[in-house]
Amino acid sequence: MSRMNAWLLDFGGDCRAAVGARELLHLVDTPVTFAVPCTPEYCRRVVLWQERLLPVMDIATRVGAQPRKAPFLAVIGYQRQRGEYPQFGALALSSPPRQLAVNDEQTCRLPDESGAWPELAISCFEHQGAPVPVLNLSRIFSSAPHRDAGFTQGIAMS
Amino acid sequence: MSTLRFDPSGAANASATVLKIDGLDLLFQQSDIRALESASNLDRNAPRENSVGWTSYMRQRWPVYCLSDQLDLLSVVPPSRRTCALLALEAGYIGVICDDVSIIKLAAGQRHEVPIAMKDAETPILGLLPSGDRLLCIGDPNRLAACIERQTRKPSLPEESQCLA
Repeated sequence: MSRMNAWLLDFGGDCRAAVGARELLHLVDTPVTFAVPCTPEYCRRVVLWQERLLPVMDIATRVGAQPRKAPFLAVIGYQRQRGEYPQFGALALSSPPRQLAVNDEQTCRLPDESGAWPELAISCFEHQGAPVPVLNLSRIFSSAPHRDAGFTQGIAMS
Repeated sequence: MSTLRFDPSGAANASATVLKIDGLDLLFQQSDIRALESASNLDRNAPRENSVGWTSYMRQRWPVYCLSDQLDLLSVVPPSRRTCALLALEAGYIGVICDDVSIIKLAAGQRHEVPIAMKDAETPILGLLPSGDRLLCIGDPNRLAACIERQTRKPSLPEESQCLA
């Protein structure tokens, strides 16, 4: 029997990705989150979790997919370097994650639909005929926003 | 993720001022706020570009701005904005029109950094302070003025837009 080694994350629509089995720490149902001004549209909110304020990353928005309801948060942990104390973040999900068993034979190319995936993913595998990027959590949560990240700072005329 | 004690004046139980702007609770040191005025008393004649009027202080008039809870400039003042807070800058003052102003005691709250994944280098938000069921965003008046200045340098747009910070 295959060993479950990944979590399949549903960001809404056809937007999916995966993280390692040990990277997902906690699933929060209908979380209370807080907006922070002058932040990129894909990471506009924080959630209080175990006395930490975690950024809530909206991967669907980041890859340009249609915004969907995201009633769940996956709290994830990652290390920037081996042996370092873990860092934490949160991913907005449309539905609860599912466990998968993935092996090297499933390796495939990243989805073509968004140019953002090469920056967000460390690899990709095929699942049920579709590519599933594996998120590079360290890069996603440890990098400052791009200058073209879509901060709302225009002039609203009404 | 680092946390720091928020102690703006160096004294325990320091007071701070919270400007409520829609869903945003923007916290300033009490000394940053020089005056409060009813929004109905503002001089609305010939406002500076992208401002909504003028307020008088120290025998001069200072521009008043209306911001969204994302700190975007608004040209039309929502009816809920009833108070103008005058913020002291290194050189001069600006008015910010808000829903409500309150003074709070800062006790044992922990200040958090804005997470790196969401922090723009020029953000006027210095840190975040959970307080009960709300999140206080710690603001810096001079950085807020710079944020407004960057927006006023951009051409007026027909509707709300998403631009670089």
